[in-house]
Amino acid sequence: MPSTPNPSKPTTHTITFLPVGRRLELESGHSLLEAARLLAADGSDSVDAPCGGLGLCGRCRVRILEGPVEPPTAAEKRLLSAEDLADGLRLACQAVPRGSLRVEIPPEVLASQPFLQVDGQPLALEPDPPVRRLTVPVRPTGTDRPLSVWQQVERSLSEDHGLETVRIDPALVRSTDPLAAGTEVTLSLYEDEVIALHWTPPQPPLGLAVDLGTTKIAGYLVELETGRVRVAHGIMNPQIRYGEDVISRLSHALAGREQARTLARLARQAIGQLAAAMIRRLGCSPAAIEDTVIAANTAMTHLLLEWPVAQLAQAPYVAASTAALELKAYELELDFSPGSRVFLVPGMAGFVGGDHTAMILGSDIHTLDGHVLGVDIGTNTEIVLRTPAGMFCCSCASGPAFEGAHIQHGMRAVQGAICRVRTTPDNALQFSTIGGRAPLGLCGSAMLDVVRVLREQGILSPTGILDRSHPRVRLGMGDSTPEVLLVEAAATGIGRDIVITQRDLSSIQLAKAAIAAGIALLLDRCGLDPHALDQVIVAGAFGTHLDLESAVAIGLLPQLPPERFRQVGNAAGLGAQRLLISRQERRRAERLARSVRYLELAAQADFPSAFARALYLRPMGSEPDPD
Amino acid sequence: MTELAQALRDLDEKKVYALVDKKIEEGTPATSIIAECNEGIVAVGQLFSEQKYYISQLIFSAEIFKQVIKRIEPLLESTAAQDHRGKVIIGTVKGDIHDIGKNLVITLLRGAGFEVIDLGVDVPAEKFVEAAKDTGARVVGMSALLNFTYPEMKNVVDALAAAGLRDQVKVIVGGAPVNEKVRDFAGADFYAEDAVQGVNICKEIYA
Repeated sequence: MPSTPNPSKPTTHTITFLPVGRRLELESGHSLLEAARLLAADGSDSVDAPCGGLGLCGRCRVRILEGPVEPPTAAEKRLLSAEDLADGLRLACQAVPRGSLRVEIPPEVLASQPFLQVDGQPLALEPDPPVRRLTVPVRPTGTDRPLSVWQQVERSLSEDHGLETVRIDPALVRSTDPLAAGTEVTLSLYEDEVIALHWTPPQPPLGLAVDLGTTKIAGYLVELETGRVRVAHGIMNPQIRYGEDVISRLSHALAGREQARTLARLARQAIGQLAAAMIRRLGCSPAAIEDTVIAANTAMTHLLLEWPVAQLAQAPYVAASTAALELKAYELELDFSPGSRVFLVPGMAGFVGGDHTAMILGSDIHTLDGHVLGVDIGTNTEIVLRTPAGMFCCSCASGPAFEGAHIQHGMRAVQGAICRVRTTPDNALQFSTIGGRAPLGLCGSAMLDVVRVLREQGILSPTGILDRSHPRVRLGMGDSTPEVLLVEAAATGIGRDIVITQRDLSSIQLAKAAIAAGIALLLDRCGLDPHALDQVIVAGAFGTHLDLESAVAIGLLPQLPPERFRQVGNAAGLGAQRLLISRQERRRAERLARSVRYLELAAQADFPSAFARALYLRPMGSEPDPD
Repeated sequence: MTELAQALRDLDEKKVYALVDKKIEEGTPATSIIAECNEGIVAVGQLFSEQKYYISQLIFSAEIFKQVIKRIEPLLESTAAQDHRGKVIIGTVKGDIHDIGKNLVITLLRGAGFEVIDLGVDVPAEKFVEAAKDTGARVVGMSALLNFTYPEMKNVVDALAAAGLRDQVKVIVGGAPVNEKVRDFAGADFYAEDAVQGVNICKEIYA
């Protein structure tokens, strides 16, 4: 229905910002930068606009995904190419919406709070990196010594350093003056190949560890010789504009070569940008990165490398390859040290990728005794069970609900998100938010708390139904859906009541059940009772920040004493760091990936029943027994 | 509404089983137990359409109903062939192995008195054709969760046409990513937005 302009109340347009996932109302006639400033005002990530919105710097580029906008201004035509404009790019300070819009803030423009949890534990590992440094003499070339730099390097490496075989990266030869002179030169070698040449004594070699996730990309700059993490940073995966989950990304890649190319380029550029942002903090250039390890799920690996995906997108979900992979950084269009490599962590199955191998390495599950369960919760959740008889894994389509998607007031774990919910002795709700700001919405850990509190207060049934006769339950969404008020409008940072609806509760139940059913079936197939577990390792940002008591109370995790749980942070990122500095760990990763046995949940005849039972919001194992 | 129907509507699993067990003991005919459960399932569907219940409650009701059927199956076998409302063929198309949605529809259909021929998951087009030929069913239902299985839905419709069965059957498509456009693309007769609507379409076809 077209809205009628009302002189007393100006018309507004709804602007939805991705990837922050925030919506707000913008008065008509105002630019998108105004909307972005409203966003920033309540503490959300927003648009970086160095020139202050004067249309001078061309930095505040945003992409219009959907909806009508006024035609480009002269400033935009000057600062954006025809391709940019055709690609939907606009300058936020110039673009004026003519209706409701969906707008993407590209990662490089996202003026981000340091919001990604990239914390992990220190590397307890003797460094043994494949990259090492050697210094060799180099004399001026002359008639008495008609040898180029590289010929002298080759000779010295074999004669003075005993290398049996010597390789020199061709791109490095291409970019080096063959007659350059000095007295000595420091070389970076990857096994027997020279991958970088330094005329002045270089900084200790740096490597990049990447956890390439469906939603987030975490990066770590690590000193290869010491294993010390110098910088950690995270950005959103820009592929998100082509779908939040793996299946929709694969569908997009299946639409054609051009689409597949676009997804590959987005991931590669994002890794490059992430690296550049981190290395700038050390005052170096990306060329200082001499080795890279990428841990990604199988779908992300396929998209990054433009591999065939049709077979991965359909039952029985077969990966083109899960083997470890080593390629040159420039093959991924990364402008790191000229001849440097990228190691892709080997995976296990269609939906259990190198990130899971890295997670197992990073949390030491493979070295622990007894029965150990490892759960890495994300848009796709991988579960591994270590038993004395071997290791078993499965993958659960838990979906992005805990990342805030499909939840009315759901949001990612960024500034202003409610992250903890408690009750006072008189049953009132108490909230803590990230950064202590006025609440903007609920992140995953708060969702678990809310469900638990509503269960404890008898407002919510074990089957997830709100008690409509309870005074705290009201009807929202066109007076039809039951909901519970969590924070009154005046106390929020969004000017509207923050509620949890019956529909939200169902979405949370489905996500929780996907994970809990995976745990139940994996245990069942190994003939184990949950109480037989000696340790449960919970990884991932959400897994690390969730409240264990809440997770156990609603049956997301097994009912075990708290001391049997260990929340380990981004274990996949930690595993990638270990792989970066240790050749032994790389060999171990390959053995591990081949030895873990995979259970395809969807092929289990009793999966539907296990899933249905896992919908119960009760401690695991206390569901009514149908027999 | 009977106590059993109410218990099912409220997803009170324990109570449902207790009541069913008691009825079996008392010698209540299986058909009347199913009829009571149907009433409960219909009430769940009603709450779903009123946005009081969501998908998780539908899955619960389907699961509970499945367990009830398991309990009374021995009784059903001893009863004479029942009067069915009609036969419905249903399956998840090739390339897709999701069956929670499909099983929900099957439960509701059986509850509503249909004879359901469940072809399972990852079903190739010729299986649908064969089943339509063998059973004489007038409805073929296809379910999908993955959106690149649309071409497979079209394959099934084309295969039915090639086998000369297109006039005999009405084709219904459903599943999370399916919509009216997909129905049009596949050449199906109906698009069912949810399980309850799917059952209603079957009722109309056999009316």
